[in-house]
Amino acid sequence: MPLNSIKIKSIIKSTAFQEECLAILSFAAEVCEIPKAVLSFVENNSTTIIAQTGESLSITTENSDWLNAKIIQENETQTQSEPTFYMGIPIIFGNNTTNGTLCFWDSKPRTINATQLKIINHIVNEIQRLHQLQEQFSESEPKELYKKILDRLPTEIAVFDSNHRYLYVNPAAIQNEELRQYIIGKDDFEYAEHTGRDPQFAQERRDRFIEAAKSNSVIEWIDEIKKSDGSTSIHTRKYAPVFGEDKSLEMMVGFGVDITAQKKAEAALKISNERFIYASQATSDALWDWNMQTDKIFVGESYSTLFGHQFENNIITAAECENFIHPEDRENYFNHFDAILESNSTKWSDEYRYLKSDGSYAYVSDKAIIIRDTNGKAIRMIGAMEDITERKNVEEQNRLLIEENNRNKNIQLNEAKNMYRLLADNTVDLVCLHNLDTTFEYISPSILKLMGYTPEELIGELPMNFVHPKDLELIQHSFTSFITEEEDENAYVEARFRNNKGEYVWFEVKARIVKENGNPISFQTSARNITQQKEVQYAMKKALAQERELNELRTNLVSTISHEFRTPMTTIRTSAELIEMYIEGHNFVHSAQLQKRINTITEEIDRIVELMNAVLTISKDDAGKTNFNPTIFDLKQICLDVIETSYSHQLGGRKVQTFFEGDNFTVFADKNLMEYSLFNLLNNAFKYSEGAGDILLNLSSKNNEIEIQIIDFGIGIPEKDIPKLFNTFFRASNTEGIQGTGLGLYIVKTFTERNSGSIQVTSELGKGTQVTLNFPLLKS
Amino acid sequence: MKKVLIIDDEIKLREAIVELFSFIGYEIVEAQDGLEGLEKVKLHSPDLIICDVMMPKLDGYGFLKNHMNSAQSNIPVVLLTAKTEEIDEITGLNLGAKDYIKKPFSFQDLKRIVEKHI
Repeated sequence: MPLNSIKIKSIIKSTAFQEECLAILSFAAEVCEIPKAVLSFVENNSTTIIAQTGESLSITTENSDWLNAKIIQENETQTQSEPTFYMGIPIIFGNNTTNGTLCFWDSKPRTINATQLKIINHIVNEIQRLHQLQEQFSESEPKELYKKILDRLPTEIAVFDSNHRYLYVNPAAIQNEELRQYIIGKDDFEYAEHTGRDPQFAQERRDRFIEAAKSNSVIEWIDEIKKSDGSTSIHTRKYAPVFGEDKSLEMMVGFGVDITAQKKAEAALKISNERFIYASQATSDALWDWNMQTDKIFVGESYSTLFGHQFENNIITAAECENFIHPEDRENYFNHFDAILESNSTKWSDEYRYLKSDGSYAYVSDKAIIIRDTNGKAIRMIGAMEDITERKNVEEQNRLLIEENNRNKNIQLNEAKNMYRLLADNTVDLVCLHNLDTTFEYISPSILKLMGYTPEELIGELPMNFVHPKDLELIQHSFTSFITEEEDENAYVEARFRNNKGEYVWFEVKARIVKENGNPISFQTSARNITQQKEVQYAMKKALAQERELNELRTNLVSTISHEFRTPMTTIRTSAELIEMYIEGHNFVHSAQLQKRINTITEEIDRIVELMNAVLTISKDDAGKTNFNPTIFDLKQICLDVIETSYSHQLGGRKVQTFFEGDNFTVFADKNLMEYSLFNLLNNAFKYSEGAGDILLNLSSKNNEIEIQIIDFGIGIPEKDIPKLFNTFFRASNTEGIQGTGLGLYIVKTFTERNSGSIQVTSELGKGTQVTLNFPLLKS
Repeated sequence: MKKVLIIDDEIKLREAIVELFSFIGYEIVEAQDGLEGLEKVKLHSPDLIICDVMMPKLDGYGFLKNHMNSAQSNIPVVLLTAKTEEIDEITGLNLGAKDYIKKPFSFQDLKRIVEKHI
């Protein structure tokens, strides 16, 4: 009856039942005028008070226990009227067993009349009925609830009585409802017989049952059941004994879980883990498998080999693992890791330093795949850690080497720069570095001496702002072609720049593009003060202009003089002639002398005029004012014309004999200059051969040349004088008494050469002179 | 008696020329510049005009231009030139001068040219 006992206790202890009972007791005590009433539940000599009235009267536990025991023992009403009153009535809670008492007490003697007794009996009935009601109530409500819960539990549950007979089986344990009904009150042997199963399992369970009952603890075992379809299902079984207050076995609760699927998974996992282990043995990388739900990481054999850490079963927690990451790398590691985890990525990799058991850090390259559930949540990661310490060390060494190299290079570069700067800083010339928009980036300190500016004043300024307005266009043009023309990386320009006093200084500027990887990044200029040179140039230019001016002035002067002199000369000459006319026919004492003086005057006037003409010709030629208009003409015709015009009526009947050889006498020359030369030479020939016959003019056209020979048979020229004949104002030593300027041959040579000709003189003193002119023949 | 007009600003030269022509037997009329020359031409209608080039007021070329446009343009003009440039002579001839005499000249030169054009 253990189950009833539990039920009764639970009812008696319920507040609702106790309150109800108290109400009934209070009514009875009041009606019967009895000071104290106590309702108790008695079991195994212990008493539990359910309800009592009459606080004023206290009953000793000894008395109370004695009466209760007596009621239970006698199982009938016990009454005493004096000296004190008591009345104890047995109460039956549950199944026909006296397990409760209702006791009335008074401190003085009294009797109970028939009416009062009637009421008391009624109360007893009421209490017993109340209990039955409660029992029904409690049976109908929680029992249903428990049953529902148990029926739906996926865990197999069976409850056995102390004899290992089934009290309850849930559907998880036995699906078949008929079988479930059948088994209540049966044991496993009957069950085996009923179902035709090998009774071996019944014996095993009986042994477990006894073991659990004896050991007073939960026992657990694994049970393999061969199913009718030949497959095997695996179950874990537990027996949990329930003992009563008398320490005897009240019941046994059996639990069972079908772990077939789990076992299969475990077996698979075992295979996979074995593979994992084999893989981890095959590679030097530390393989790891992180179950992110349990936070446990299974690591391969190489993990210990690489890092020296040893863990039981090769399992490490994520927290432990994180502690091995170098503190300096942790922040980066977690930031990166969290970012990857929040993304949809299925791959993760990182490089970081990882603590080894010897306290040193290894560089690891860690790569993993991320396994996500259907919601995208990462649940597992499988990865491999590679020790890249050696590689990192090599990289680090390389980096240090490169750094060292760069540092050396920088030092060299800086030295070169410093040298350059030193040069630039100390040069008297100006050295500047310009940005591509021409603004100054660097200016050598020489700017201060050269221009009065400090470099700081000018940095960022445009050079164009300092250029003389007249040179601006030149500079801009030069700069544009310099920047745009690729092949010409150097440029040169001379220009004036304004100094800090507002004066302009001449500079010679050389520019050069500075390129980096073939692209112009800036340009560099060096500039030299050429003001002095420019001044010299200017002075020279001025001097030249002055000279030219003087020359012109001289020419003009000569021209003016020759012009202005002519009129007085004419007057003098005419006057002399008038005198000559006046004395003519008159016999003066000195007529002969007068005539001679008059001749001298006219001769000298003519000589002055001749000289003036020659000087004017030379002066004009020196000033570049001689007209030179070459044309194509026949030289033979010119010779004949000159002879006809000027030498057809010579004194003493002298004439020019001409000889021509060849047909073509065409030349390309200036006709006037040619005429002047011929006239001059013929004039000389006559002048220096007075009384020595005719003059010969030979004209011959040979090959590519025309040759003119003018031959006289006069006084000739001393040999020593021949080389000086073409000098100005030179006259041969034997010409005294013969009028001449000493300029004629000089002019002839000048004009002949201008006409692309040449002149030679051969002479024999006292025998005559031959002048030869050669001109290129113009062939038709 | 043939009448010759001498136009020259140089009095001394004019005097000398006048004397020379009186030897030959010409009537001489004198003028000291181009403007006076033009008046004298109208006044005396000479047979020949001898005219200097370089003169104040109106020079020889100016006189020539005016003269050649006048009713008496048929009267020949001989230029007296102190210039040596051929261009001056050509200019004069182009303007209508009959001939020219370069300074300084000889009596023979003068006589020959005057007789040629009178």
